[in-house]
Amino acid sequence: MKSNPGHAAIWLAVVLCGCERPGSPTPAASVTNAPSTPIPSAPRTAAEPWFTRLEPSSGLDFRHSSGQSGRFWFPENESGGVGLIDYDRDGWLDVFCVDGGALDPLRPLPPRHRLYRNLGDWKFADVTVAAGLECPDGYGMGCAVGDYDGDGFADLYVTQLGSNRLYRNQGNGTFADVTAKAGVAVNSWSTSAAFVDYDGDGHLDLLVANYVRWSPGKEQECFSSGGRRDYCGPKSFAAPLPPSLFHNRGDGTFSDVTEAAGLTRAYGNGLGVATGDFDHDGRIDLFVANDAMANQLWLNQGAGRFVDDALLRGCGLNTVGIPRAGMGVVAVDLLQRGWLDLFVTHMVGEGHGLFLNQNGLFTDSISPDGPMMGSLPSTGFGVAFADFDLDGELDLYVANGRVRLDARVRSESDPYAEANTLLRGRGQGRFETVSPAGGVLPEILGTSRGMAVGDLDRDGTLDLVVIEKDAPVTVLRNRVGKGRHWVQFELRDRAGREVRNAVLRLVDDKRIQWRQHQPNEGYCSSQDPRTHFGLGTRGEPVRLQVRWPDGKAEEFPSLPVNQLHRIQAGKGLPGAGWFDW
Amino acid sequence: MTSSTQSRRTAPAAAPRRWRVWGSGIAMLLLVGWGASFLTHRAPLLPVARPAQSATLDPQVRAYVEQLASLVEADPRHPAKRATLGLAYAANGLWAEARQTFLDAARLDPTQPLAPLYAAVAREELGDVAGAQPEFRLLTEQHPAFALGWSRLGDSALRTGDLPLAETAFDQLVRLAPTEWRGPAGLGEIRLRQGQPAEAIRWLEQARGLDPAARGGVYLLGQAYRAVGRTNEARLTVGVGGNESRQPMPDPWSEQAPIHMRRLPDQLAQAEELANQGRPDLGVALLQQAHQFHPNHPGLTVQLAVALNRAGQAAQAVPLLDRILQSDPESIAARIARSHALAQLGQGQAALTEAQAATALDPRLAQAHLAVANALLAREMDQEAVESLRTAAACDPRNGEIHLEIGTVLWRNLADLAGAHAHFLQAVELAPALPRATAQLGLLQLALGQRGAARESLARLQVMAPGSPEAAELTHALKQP
Repeated sequence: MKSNPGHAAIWLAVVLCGCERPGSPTPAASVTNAPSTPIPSAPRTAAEPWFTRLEPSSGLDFRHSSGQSGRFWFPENESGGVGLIDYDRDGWLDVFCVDGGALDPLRPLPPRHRLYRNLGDWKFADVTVAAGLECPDGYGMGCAVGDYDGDGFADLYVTQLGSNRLYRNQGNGTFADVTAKAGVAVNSWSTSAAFVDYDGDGHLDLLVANYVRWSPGKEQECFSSGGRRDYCGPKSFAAPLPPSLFHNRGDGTFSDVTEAAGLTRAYGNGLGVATGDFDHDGRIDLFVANDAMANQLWLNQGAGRFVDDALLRGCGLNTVGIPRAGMGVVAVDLLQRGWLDLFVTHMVGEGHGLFLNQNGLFTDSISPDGPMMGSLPSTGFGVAFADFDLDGELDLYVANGRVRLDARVRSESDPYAEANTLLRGRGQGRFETVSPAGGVLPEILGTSRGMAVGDLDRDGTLDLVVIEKDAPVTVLRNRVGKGRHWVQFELRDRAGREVRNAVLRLVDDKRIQWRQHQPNEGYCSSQDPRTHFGLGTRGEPVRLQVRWPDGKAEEFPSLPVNQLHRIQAGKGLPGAGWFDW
Repeated sequence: MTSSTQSRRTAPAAAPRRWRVWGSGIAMLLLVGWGASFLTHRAPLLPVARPAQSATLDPQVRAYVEQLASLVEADPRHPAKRATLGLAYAANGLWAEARQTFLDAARLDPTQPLAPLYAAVAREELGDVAGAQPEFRLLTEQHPAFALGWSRLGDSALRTGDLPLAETAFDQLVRLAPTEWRGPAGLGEIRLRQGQPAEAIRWLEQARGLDPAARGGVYLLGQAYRAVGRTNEARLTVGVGGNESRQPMPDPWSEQAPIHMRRLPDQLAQAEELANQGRPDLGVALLQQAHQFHPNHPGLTVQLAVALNRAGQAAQAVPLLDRILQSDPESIAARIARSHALAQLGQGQAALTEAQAATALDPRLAQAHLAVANALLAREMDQEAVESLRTAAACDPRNGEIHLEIGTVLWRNLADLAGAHAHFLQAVELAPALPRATAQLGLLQLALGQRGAARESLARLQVMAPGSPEAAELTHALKQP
């Protein structure tokens, strides 16, 4: 350069013009198309972390294993669920963690599902063996908790690749594997499941989402960015499976009514299930969130028949007709007006989907301060709306973790790791990001899958259990709700059996809150079987109005707060007008 | 400026005129040389972005991007070469490298709006949609007549729910590119989200008029019809418009992107698409090139054999498949492909045996039963073929094309019009966006004397595939007495 004065003059001119020196690397911040105005950031709540992590010394020492073999077998990428179950009816929620296992036929390992008995004071004991829950085979995915035989003890259904398992709670601290007798094995690749009384006969039926027809022989080589070896997605297999619907005969057995109910007429790669009366016709409908295919909304026609109307009703695809990767799903009345919306977690770049229910028709709603805010960079699985800070508004927690490699690596030890998401509800479907991400420090950086919300320490605030792939379980203890008021409900029918899909309307002088009681939702997980409301600083008794699944409405006036109430059908005051459908 | 400087210079009085001319010429040459040198070297000398984990890349991708990166290194100030490398990175999912390379290309040629556009697209692809949006906004400020920038800005704003920004963007797009359907479709989507379905219908019908094949707009129209209670139209329209993939507004660079794809799944999809477009030979060439990098990849080898079958080169497919089956006798895909190859080569019995072997390996696999049906049809065993097709349909009950095939065999080979009618109806129900199904149903309805029903089928066809050969065939048939 010095030998050429002409060049020197030119470079000087360049420098005077404000250009950069030649040969210098491009600083990322000085791009030619940098934003001209500051990027408006989403509202953010910065305060103390909402949760603290439970120490490993608590005894809840579950560690999930996907059995990853380096061969990128597809099921390794999807495993991991958790169920909250008070199996011994001592009032403390116990924790059932679903393991993967190992798929390698040369080194097969059965899944090490684990049941932890809650001893109180944040101590847990592994009671798996004593409870008879050791699983001999299969590859674990998730679970659903429900009292299918109406004996008052919560039973456990475990979904797997291979035979699913139905464990009947024998009421003495042990379970019996009644899969074969009950006829609910499926023997496929099941993911999420829900106990739901779709025909209103008082017995909990069983809906099971099935994913992909898979075997090691069908595995393919798949690649991510730049052709790096990676996990395949469901499209590579082109082998979706219909869900399974089992009708509870009431004698401890089920009949497979999938085909008779019409559920084989449309299906996709099912990962999530949600249930509820979405069209207010008095019958419980079924929703299946599919991965990379259109979702199904199975509208209950009565007489055991269902018709999929997701496309027309607007909850099958995104707003412009594109299928997304549906993972976890919840039915939630986000606007608190008596209609169940659907919130589905999706893959990076898609954004989570809120299907807002307007008189039985859904709109794929996207707003800058909606529950999908900030979700585009993440891949969501477990999901729950719950009032963590007890301010009377639903907050949102999403367990994130990639299914594919990409350029942004957050953790050297786990290239699929992402931070979880916590949003604080501001009411009317508006949210703000809570900092730190996921509500805890240090943030959870893992490949999170299933997740369950429940009051583990009976203090009226909601805690969290998150399953991360190939990592120890994370238990988050709520510290944000302290000092505020709450109320919880356990619902029973006239015969004292567990009730599902009742609609609760809680009235105080400040607001009306709506909930649907259905713990089997999210991703491969089962939530607190009790229905929880935060009440803020208000400590006066509340009024509860219930629409039972048979359509009858009752009111339970003047219920004291800060306690759990057992609400039984027929014990309230008859009422009308609150549920106009 | 040069000449005026010269004219003001006072020449020595004794200097001959020719020296003045020579002097002027030399000065001019020097200035031109400096100018050329300035133009050549004023662009900064930027390093070439290379993949961070090159060793883990697919060998074909690695070879391709390294080749292009070397070309850029040889000519580092060439913006077009830099942009081509960026496209190659993007087409192979290397978005971080693509973004840096597009940013570099934008610095090398600040007048080219596509480079910053693609840098922002790469940022979106890296998951930072919110961060990309201001870049699109800046691009539209710097290049206000650049319709693509407005289109991307509108899409981005819709994704983040910023409806006022989206409206501004799509208004501009409508103004700048009045024949582009995405402008009115975007405005229609905004109106729909704002709860104004009647207004949305006006925009979305306009979008459909501009491009009836643009399914994303058609799906939105269905949602708008539904919102105003036009349920029957809505049901048809969402069925036709749904399940589309995302299609941003095309540009000269995006049209080049497929030629840079070197990842196996993309190449397999390209080969399939080429075959569907009637150019299976190009698909074969593509996969043969990939096969050189992955000679032992069973999936690719089988797909190459399938492509050879489709290109009428079954004789070349058979040895490839034999090699696969030697190492993995239980490869169902290889057996199915071999069955099709043998049928094509006129070896009907061998084709049937091979297909039956595939069904034995997985009795629930529809493709295996389809291969049996294919072998049976080749031997003119039509009734037996229908049974196999029915088994295939039972294995894959959502597949409308199988019912279309059953209907076709029943009608054309077995003269069972009533049976064919039932299967065509099922095909249309299961595959509402498949023009062939609706067209065949319409033709059969004509054969059955159901002219009214055939006209309804044509109306449906004109919604889903106006101007298609299927629509033309049915239209022509309806004109016959």
